[in-house]
Amino acid sequence: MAEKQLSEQESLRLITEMIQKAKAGVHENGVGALLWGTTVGIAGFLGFCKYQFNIDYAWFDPWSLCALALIPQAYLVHQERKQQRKAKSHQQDLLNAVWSIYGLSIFLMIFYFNIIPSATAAILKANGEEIVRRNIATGAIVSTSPNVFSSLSLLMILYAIPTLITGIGMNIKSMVVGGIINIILFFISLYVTTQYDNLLAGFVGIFNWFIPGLILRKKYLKAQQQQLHV
Amino acid sequence: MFKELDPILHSQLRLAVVSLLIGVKEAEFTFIKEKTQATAGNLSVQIQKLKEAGYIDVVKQFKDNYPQTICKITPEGVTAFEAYVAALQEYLTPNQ
Repeated sequence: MAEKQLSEQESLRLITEMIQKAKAGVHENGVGALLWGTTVGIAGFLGFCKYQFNIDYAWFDPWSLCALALIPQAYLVHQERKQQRKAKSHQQDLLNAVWSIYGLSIFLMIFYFNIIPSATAAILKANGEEIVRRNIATGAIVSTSPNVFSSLSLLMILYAIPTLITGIGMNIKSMVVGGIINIILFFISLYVTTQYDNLLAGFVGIFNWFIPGLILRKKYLKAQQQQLHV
Repeated sequence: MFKELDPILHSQLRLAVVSLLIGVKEAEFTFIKEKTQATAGNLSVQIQKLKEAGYIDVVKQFKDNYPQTICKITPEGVTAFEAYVAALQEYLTPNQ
């Protein structure tokens, strides 16, 4: 671009062109969404198979995949951004904060699910109480440990929050649609057993992140190709 | 009576740089060079002029042992850009 004085029309054309170029230069690469969508999808389907086919994974809980996958995912996303990011958009800091708090909330929620049953049992025991289940037909009473009912439904509420914020804030239609499907699946999960909660949570992973991730990745690679050919 | 167009902004490359920076929070020198297709030398000179006018902030640092220059528009730059666009609109629609 050579240095020259501009007419008013040329100035306006240049401003429009540059604003569009800046916008096109900060495409989301979709890696984070793809990885997280794959993890939640696999965890959900493994969880469903556990109940459906009576598979004993022994020590392995499919949903612990999510907690394990958070660290390498954060590292991979950070590395890719570090290599490719030459410009930072205004929304990126806000969205990074939303997704970091979401990651922390997932950790805290899993912590809650693991602590609450034993903590509640201990409090009840200290008061000389316990929770029991009574069979209506036989009248048999068995001692049971307290648990959080339909915990995956609670996680599904959490899943929708960052997806909808990103989708609406960045105008990513596939994420808005994924977030709405997420909420519909949450309502369905209230009326089905844990077995199907797992399946629904797997679908949430696919619709919320995997499909939008594929779309974002395709757009990002296309934008990269176009830049190479300019 | 038309407002005078800001001479700092009314030049092709400086206007291109400010228009790019208005759309992002911050950008590397290489990003601006790639988008404006300017030569490094010319771009450096124009960036320096924008910096002297207080329209942009320039931070020079090292990233993975390579020098990195990051540019960011200042609140003064945003105000000047808005005033420039408003003045342009007056030129293009003088009857309003």
